[in-house]
Amino acid sequence: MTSLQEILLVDSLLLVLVTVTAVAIIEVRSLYAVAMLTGVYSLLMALVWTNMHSMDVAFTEAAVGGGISTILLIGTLVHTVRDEKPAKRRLHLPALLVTVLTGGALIYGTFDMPDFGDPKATIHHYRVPEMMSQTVAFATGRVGKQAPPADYQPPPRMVPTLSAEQLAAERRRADERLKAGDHGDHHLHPADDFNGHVPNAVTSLLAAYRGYDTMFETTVIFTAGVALLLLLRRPRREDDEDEPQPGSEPLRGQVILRVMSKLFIPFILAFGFYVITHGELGPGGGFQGGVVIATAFILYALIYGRPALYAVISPGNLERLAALGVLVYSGVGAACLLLGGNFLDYAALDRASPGDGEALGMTLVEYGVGITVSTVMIIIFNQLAEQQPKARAS
Amino acid sequence: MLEIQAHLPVLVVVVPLIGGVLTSLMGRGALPWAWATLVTGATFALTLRLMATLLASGAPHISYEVGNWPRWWGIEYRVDLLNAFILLVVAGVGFITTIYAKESVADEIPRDRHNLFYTVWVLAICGLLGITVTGDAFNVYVLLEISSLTVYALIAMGKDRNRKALTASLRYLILGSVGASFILLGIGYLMMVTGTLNMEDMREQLLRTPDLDHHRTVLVAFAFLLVGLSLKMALYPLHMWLPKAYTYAPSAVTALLAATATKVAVYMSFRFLFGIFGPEFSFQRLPSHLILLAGACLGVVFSSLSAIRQQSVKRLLAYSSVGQIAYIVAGFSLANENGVAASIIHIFNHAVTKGGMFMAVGAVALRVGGTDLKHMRGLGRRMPLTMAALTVGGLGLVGFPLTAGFISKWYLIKGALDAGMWGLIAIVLLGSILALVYVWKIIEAVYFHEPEDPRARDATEAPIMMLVPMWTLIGLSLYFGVDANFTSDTALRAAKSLLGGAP
Repeated sequence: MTSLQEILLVDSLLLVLVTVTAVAIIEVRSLYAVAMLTGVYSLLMALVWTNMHSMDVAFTEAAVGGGISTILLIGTLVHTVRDEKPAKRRLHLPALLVTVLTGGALIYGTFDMPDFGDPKATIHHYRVPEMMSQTVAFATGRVGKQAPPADYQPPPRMVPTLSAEQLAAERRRADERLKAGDHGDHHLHPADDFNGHVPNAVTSLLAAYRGYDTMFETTVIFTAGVALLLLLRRPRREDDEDEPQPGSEPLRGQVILRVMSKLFIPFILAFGFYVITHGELGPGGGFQGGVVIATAFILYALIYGRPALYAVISPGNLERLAALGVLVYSGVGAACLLLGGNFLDYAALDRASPGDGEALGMTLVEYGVGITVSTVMIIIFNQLAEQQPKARAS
Repeated sequence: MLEIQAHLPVLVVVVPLIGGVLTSLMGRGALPWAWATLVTGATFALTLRLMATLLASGAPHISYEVGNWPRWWGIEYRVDLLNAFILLVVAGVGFITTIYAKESVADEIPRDRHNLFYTVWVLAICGLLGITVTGDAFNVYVLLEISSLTVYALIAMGKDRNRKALTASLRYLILGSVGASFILLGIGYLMMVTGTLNMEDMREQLLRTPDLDHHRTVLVAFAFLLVGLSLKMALYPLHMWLPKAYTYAPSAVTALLAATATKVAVYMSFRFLFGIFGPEFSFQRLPSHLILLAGACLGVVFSSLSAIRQQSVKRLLAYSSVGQIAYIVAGFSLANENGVAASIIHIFNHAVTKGGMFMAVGAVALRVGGTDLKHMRGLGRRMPLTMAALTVGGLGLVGFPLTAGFISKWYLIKGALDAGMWGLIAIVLLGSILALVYVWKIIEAVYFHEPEDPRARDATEAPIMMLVPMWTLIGLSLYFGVDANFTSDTALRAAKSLLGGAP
């Protein structure tokens, strides 16, 4: 059995489970169970991504889909009923027809796709190799960017995958160099656009080559938070302060929860910052780290009550921070403009060593993303929790 | 230090982005509005300068590489005559509508969230501009997310009169998300075949693809894009989200949406159908022009019939918008110079005409408190300037000579003659007659009835801050009905370059 077949076997198993979960989400009447099942769905998808070696996507799926959206869905449940209304089961023929046609078209489209894992697929040899080897600016010898080394060779037209022996040999060579006293941070990595600062190609794609898209993805998150405030925020009145809000009481008797959460929160926060900062080296970045940081605050609010959270960070400051994150990102872009580069041309931040400027810019924008994502998640949670639960017949 | 000239393409989007986010920090009172006006005004000035720069350079397009990454790997902004023109329309109407919004928003939106409202408002304009300026297929989708999300929120704000705005917004959210995911699937399939996201690069890769006509992945990508774009354009019969959304949204939002949102979706179709797939593939080797034409013809007839039946003027005009979009689609699906030019001209003409009309209806909402025909009765004497704007705009919808609507129909009929489509000419004439019927319903209520509603009896003329923007748009529709040189020259040149397959 080759390794590809093993991958396919695991994938098939996972995809069957994904399908079963999706059907269960449609069929189950209990909305609480549905919320939990969506978490299961995301976790399974995270495994599929892991199997495809896309760790960053898997991490995001796990943190966002499996983590925070499940919390938010359960938060939404507070305002509605626990069970879906029994619907009349009748066949809606046009809907069935459209669904079958759409699904059929999607499958029909796969017939001319390259095979799964085909090294000859266009995507592996057209534009992507330069991105994977992080030598985009070298390919064109771009002015203002990191200059290509004298012996620059374009990357092979296929993404190289090191075999186990090659990988072991690479590691031995690196160890030997370290033993020989060669600790230069640039030298363990072949020359690239970022002076070897950013070994994670996903981060260089998201924060540099296509950093402009990511800026707007951050804006999407910000917009979601603002839109929610626009629609749901309770009118602010001065005499509102003392009025006890439903769901805001701390969980008084729960000693275990209180103590354990106090122990956990510093570690969750530290992990969140680690994920943001470490995103250029391994899986992670502003989106995932921001979500992790938000969960620490949400945990605190759940156990100690929202007033305690507001004592740490007020709703007004949350709104300001959400804006700040986008402003950090776009501000870095504007700073590059003022320093004489194009918008988001981080190389302009450090003309003497453009590759270091790129790395600096990417770290800054990752923090911008992290600030907006974490605060918007907390805002969404607060808005869901602040609403008066509808009186419902029990 | 900073060469504005060199960075115009990106500034057109970045200025409203940063300005929009800053709006959320503006506190209460009139400050958020004033700031939003300043930001949209500056954006409009930048689009004007961009157009001037493009015309002065004489080059077919201006390219801007974001982040100084080579465009095949990074994101390219690419401005040619077509999108410079659309940018001008979106930014211009956005600016004028922002001025208009002051009185209307003060009346309709709770005071404590004006800063949030204008944040979303400016970001909506930013998203629409971003879709228009980019030369990157995935960047289109990201900005589409922003413009969609903001528009859903803006529509839902029409809630203090009734909660129907929330369901209208939810309906649009669901259908709009289906449309957006279809577009995303199409882009994803194309990326898999071509290995790139840059539109021009995609085009060249598609031309290199052997046996393109039978490449099943490309065909499915095309189909999904066509359906997704039709949904976003509100092409009949995928228009179901539009009438309710326009009817229940706040007045200023309706004016902005009617003038810009569906137009930008039409522009996206230009880029995908003509730019990436190329007119030959889209319209000669595939029968998509027949599908689009069928949708357009049905749209003209049925939406006009629906418009005639409405009692709510906002809803009447919303159905009329579906019909007007159908003219635009009919024009470009002819895939000849006059037809495509008719589409481009009508994007502008309909934006100013319908934008101005919805502004007039919004003024009625402010003064009378309702926008049904019964609220409008007898307002001809109480609000003469507003009602005159509504009437002139209505004549533009019918296509009377000396209004901009006439120019659009003139080119559309020329395009239909070039293509030998006599049936389409008959549909255009039938549509005009039907439009005359529903416009007459408004005119009759306004001028030939005594006021019924107690508030209509002592209504006064709309405030000057509404009249000026309203008449600016209606005035433009009259000016470009008489002297259409700028619009028709630009449109014909843009059409020529589109049909040449330029991305």
